[in-house]
Amino acid sequence: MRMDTEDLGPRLIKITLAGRLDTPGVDSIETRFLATLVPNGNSAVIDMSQVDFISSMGIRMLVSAARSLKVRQASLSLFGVQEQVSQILELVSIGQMIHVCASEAEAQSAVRSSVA
Amino acid sequence: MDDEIYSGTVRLDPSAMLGKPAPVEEIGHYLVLISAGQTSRRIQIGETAITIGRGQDQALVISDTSVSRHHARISIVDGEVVAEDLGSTNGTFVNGVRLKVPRKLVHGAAIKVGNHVLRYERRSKDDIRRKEALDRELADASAYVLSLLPEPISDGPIQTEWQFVPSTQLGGDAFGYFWLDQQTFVLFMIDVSGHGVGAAMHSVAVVDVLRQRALPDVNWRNPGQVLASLNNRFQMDRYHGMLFTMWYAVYDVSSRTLSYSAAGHHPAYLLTPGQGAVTPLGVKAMMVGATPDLTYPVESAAIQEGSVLYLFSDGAFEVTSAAGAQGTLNDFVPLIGASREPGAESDRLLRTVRQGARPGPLEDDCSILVATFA
Amino acid sequence: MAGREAVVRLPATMSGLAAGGETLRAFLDSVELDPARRYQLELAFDEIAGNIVRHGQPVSSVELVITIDDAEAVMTFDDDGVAFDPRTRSGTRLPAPGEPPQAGGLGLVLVRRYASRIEYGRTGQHHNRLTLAIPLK
Repeated sequence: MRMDTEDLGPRLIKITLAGRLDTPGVDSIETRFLATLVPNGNSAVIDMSQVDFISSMGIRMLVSAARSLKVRQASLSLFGVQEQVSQILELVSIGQMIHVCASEAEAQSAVRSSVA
Repeated sequence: MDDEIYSGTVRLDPSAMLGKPAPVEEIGHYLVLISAGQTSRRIQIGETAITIGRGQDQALVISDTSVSRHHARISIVDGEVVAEDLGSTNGTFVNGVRLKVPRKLVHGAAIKVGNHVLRYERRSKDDIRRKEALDRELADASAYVLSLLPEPISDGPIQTEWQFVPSTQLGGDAFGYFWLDQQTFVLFMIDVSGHGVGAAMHSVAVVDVLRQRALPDVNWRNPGQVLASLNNRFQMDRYHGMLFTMWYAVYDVSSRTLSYSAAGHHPAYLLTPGQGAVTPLGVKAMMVGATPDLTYPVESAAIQEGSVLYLFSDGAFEVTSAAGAQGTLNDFVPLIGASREPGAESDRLLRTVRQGARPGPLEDDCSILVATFA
Repeated sequence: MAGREAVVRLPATMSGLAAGGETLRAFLDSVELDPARRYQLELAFDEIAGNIVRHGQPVSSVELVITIDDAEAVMTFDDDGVAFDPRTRSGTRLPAPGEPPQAGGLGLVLVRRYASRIEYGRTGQHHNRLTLAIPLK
């Protein structure tokens, strides 16, 4: 599981994930993922276009980050989600906590407008 | 309630069971005869093959015109259980596929002979003993859940009628309604994920909290607050991984407004007099218990005189048809408004669902609640 | 299609899960499957085997037997873990006989959605078996 980050401005970063957000995949990046976002209360747009798979562990990781960020008036959005992954996210109604967007531009605007 | 599905009688030939059983090892092979509304019956498959048919000479006699005289045979070949059709008229089906040649059975396989269903199980003796204890617990739990459901209301500003059919495995459905005060009526439905005593007891715990209004600092008139509070209280890591879906609504009699919210639950449907289609009343949110500190959106609907609300669990529509297709919400919704039997709507819907279903007990609890607003 | 079967054995560790997942995917590559159904099989593997590794400790290995034919895929997971360790879960109800070590949270909710049958059992002192079937038609 690969994770790249890019600063997009004050308290906003872009994360690009590549690989599978399955049990071993999440195990390998969860600590780094949460550490990047949570302590500083950074909002993030996440490029999911190279994520081929997600299971409940991946959902938990994303939801856990979103929850911690909410307390700090920050939020998460995803974009470029692959079809099958999108169906799973839809099934668990992840939209209640995390914006799922069609493009990076939309994802950025979603987190910017959520920030208090 | 299910007599129309099981029209024949079933008799076991005791000598089949007196034949030498499989060598005493850990594992036993069993056929479980599943009859709706009754405890299932377990038959051990031993060295002697079990023949199934209408003929009196069969080990398992099923007196039913859908079954041939010599219909099927279940036997152990080289340590594996094999099912074989004996040239029956209507065929023998394993997991929906008609047998043309003998087929090895995998644990859990469903064997359909005429209108009857048997399940093949491979279990240790220990497992069997525990399972029998569990079945007794399930029967108790089932009775307990039923005792919590409120009586139908036949007059007043809101009238209710309902149907509740627990599955043989007890699916964790529950629902209820009550007057919060003279002007405010609450309706809710929950569905705990999974089956068994655990799921049933979890649904009972949730219903209890609602009946006792045992949530601190909650405005019961606010569906969003109620769900948020329940969610924090019933987090899955404290409840053995249990999650449930829920639909909760509050009706204000004087303003004729229904406020509602939901967590992972499909919509309820409102039939307004004079309008063609039904209106879905739903909200998208995660199941209760998945993660703490969630907020739930609240929506509302204006309720005209004579409107009817239909609230039902997924066991009402996720029913396997006779052709083997899994039903969906879109198969059920058109039934609402297709015809009307005022006061017996829940019964009409249940009947229609069962008519289209394949033989055998329903796989999941089925709850249908219908409320009419005067 | 005649039945295709594969056996995947993996040590009950994270790296075992990763390797086992790859073995499973190599097998699935050799079978013609609708993408949505294929995803469901991969999901079932990750959720069930992952659950065993995360919650079934101490456990040394997991074996998956997967059989695929036209109608359905049947997956049988065997592991040698204990059924549960009450000391690791305070204040929760112990599972009833026949229930898995942990009712499973979101993962099992997902698997239940797609599986037409799920059966749990213990086939020995230290032997759990979980069988599930996912329709392919």
